[in-house]
Formats: sequence, structure tokens, C-alpha cells
Amino acid sequence: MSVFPMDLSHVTGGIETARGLPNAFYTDPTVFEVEKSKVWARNWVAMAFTTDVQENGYAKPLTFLGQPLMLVRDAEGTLRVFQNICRHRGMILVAEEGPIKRAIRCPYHAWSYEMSGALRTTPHVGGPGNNRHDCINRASLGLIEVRSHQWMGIVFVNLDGQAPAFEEYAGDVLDRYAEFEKPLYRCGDEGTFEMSVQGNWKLAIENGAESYHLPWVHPGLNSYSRLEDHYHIDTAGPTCGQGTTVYDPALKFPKFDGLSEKWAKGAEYPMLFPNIMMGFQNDHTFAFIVIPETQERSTERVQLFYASDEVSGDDWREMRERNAVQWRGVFEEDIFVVEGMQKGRHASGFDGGKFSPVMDNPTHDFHAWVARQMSA
Amino acid sequence: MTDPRAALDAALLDAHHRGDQPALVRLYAHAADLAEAAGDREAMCFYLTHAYVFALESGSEDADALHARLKAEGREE
Repeated sequence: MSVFPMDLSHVTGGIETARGLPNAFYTDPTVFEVEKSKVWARNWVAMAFTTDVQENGYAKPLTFLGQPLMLVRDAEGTLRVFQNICRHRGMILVAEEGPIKRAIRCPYHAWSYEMSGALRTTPHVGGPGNNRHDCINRASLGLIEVRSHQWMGIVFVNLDGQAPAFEEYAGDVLDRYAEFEKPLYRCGDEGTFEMSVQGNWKLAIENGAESYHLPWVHPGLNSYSRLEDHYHIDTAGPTCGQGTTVYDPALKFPKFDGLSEKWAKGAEYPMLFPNIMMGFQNDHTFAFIVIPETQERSTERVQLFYASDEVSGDDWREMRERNAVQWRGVFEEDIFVVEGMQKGRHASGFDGGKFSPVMDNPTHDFHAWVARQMSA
Repeated sequence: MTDPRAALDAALLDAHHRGDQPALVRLYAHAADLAEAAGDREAMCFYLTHAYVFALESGSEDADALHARLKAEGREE
């Protein structure tokens, strides 16, 4: 039985009277399937890090929202996203990540593709020893490329290919953080990590969006970044989040050149809907991607980016490791609330929750955005 | 005395089992040469196709020459 159309006007209304998204948005596999088309396919979504494929001539398969995809970096360094299937019989092309010398050969009938996606040869397609046939138009049978865009070390995809250009979709965020459009440096394996969470993807984004929980869930912040030092990020675009005016970390890394005065003590943590939280600070940035596995389980992938390649050196190793441990600790502190809210969404009496009109604005913004997407 | 054809088949099977792509390129190209010498054009193109595919996959510099032979036979674009 279809649950749509669903009246979500109580979610999109003003925060004073609004309720949060209904339980079904967190527990119902039917809603999760509808989200795949209405939320995930239509928009630009964060899928991977550009450094997931660091070598030229390399392919990495991944499953994203149940779809078999692959990242391919060609011999010249261009990174593309393809559906990981042969155009002949739909066989999975790349089972394990690894180098690609010149062509990707389907293990079934050996149709072979260049790293650009072009279909290079179709063995025996016209009979034994004859690799051509008038009905086989190679130009129309290349790998199915997924529309993708790279920004700040993140690979975004638009699965249905119909979204506005990324620059338009994410224009508010791009404008707001244009000062950070500089080379970013990954600097070490310890700054890339992931966590598995028994919670719906939205709960991780909702939690990251607001500062209301900080003094309770992250008491370590109270000593230097009190609740009153935080503010909401409010834009018209698919974003929300929080900022602080007292960023002054104990660990001192080289700072980005040329930042404006705002960033001397300021830091911001915006969400770009649907599934990424980013951190903008004067010495390093981070990306926190939430990847849905099921309606009740998600993978959180984090990568830290530094302002200078100098931080890659052994002299900085201990500092890098302490920074990664610190961030991981913060994100792990959030897991119990995400998992707790997930369990709570099975309570039949929960009505989506009552918002604080002062503190929950980012959460409400996100809920309203999801509700509008699902109602469209 | 070992049958050369049987020895080639065994070497091909062994190369397949080992995933030895340079050997597969070389052995299938050799099989194509033997077929050509025997006047068996169909078999030649069959083996050339396999040599070409493994040359593409392994990045062998022989790929372009193998492609040219197939194209000259009207078997490749």
C-alpha cells in the first residue's frame, strides 16, 4: 500500500506549530524507497571523497543506495562515476578496486570499455572472430555515466541527471565559503575514517545541524565554546547549520591564507542537504558524509582537510593523529543520540516531536526541506 | 613427442588459471599465427580477438597491432 501522497503540511509549517517528520520517515522501508527517487535521485548528493581513488588508471566499485557504481580515474587523472554494469547483460564489471591498464573487460563475454566509458570492443558479437555487427552501435553503448561534480574534495552525484547545475543547487554554500576554495590536503590516512550507525540517515544530519545539544552531549565544549557562542546558519538554499564565534583550538595547524576577519575566531558547520555536514575553520576543514544503508542503518564517512601540505610531514604526525582522535571522539559522542532517536521512532505515540522555536530552527529547516521534496 | 597444438592448449589453460595476461596475449597471438599458416581464417580471427582483448586489458603495446589485423579482416571497427 502506498503511503503517498502524505499530508506533511504540519512539518512544513512555521516552527512555532510545526511537528517533525513522522516515524515512518525513519522506520518504514516504503518511505525509504520513495526517498531514493524523490530525495536522493533528484538532488546533488555527496557520495565519496575524491581521494577514494588517488591513482591514475584506477577503479573502485561501491554500492550507493543499492546501486552498483564505480569511481574511475583515467590515465590523465579525470575522475568519473559510472554505473558498474556491462551494457550487454548487466554484469558487474569491477568486483574489487584496483588498477586499470587500458580497458575494463567484462568478465562474462569480454565486452571491453575504455576508462572514458567508451565501448572499445565487443568480442564475437557478430559470430566467432567477428567483433562487429551493424546492430551494435558502440557509440550508444558506452558505460552509463552518472552526473558528478567535485568540490572541496567531495564527489557529488545527481543520479537522475535532472538537477540544476551544482553551482546553482549549492550556490548559497559556494558563495558563503568561497574563501575556502583553495588547495586542500588530506595529509594522512588517520584523517579519513568511518562509523556505522544504527540510525536513519536523517537523524545524523539533524543532529549535526543544531548546537542545542552541544553542552549536553559534548560537555568538553563548555569550557571554550559555550552554547551562547553559537548561532544558526540560515539561508534560502538546501542548507542549514550552526556556527561559532570562539574557534580557538588547542592544536595549532597552519592556517589558510587570505581568509577574512570573520574566520579569525569563527567557524561554521553547514549541512548541504541531503547528506553532508561540512566544517569550515581557519586551519582545517572536514566533510562528514552520511550514506544510507537501510532505513535504520547508515554509514558516516569523515575526512579532514588541512590548509598546507606541510602537515603531511612526520613532524605533524602526532598532531594530526590527536586531531583525528579528537574529531572522531566528537562524532562518536553523537552516535548514542542518533541510535537513541532511531529506537524512539518505533514508539507509536511519537508525533514527530515539538520544536524549540529558538534552538531547533536548523532541524526544522531540514525537516521542511525533506517534506517538500517528498511532497513534490 | 608432444602434440604442439595440445601443448599450446595446455599453456593457454595454465595462463588462464594464473591470470597471466601477457602470456595470454602472446599465446593467443601465436595460436592466431598457427591458424593463419594453416589457412584457417575463422580460427585466426577468433584467436586474434582473444589476444586483442587481453592486450587491451593488460595495457599491452601489442593491442594496436592486433586491432589493425582484425580491422584488416573486417572483424573490428
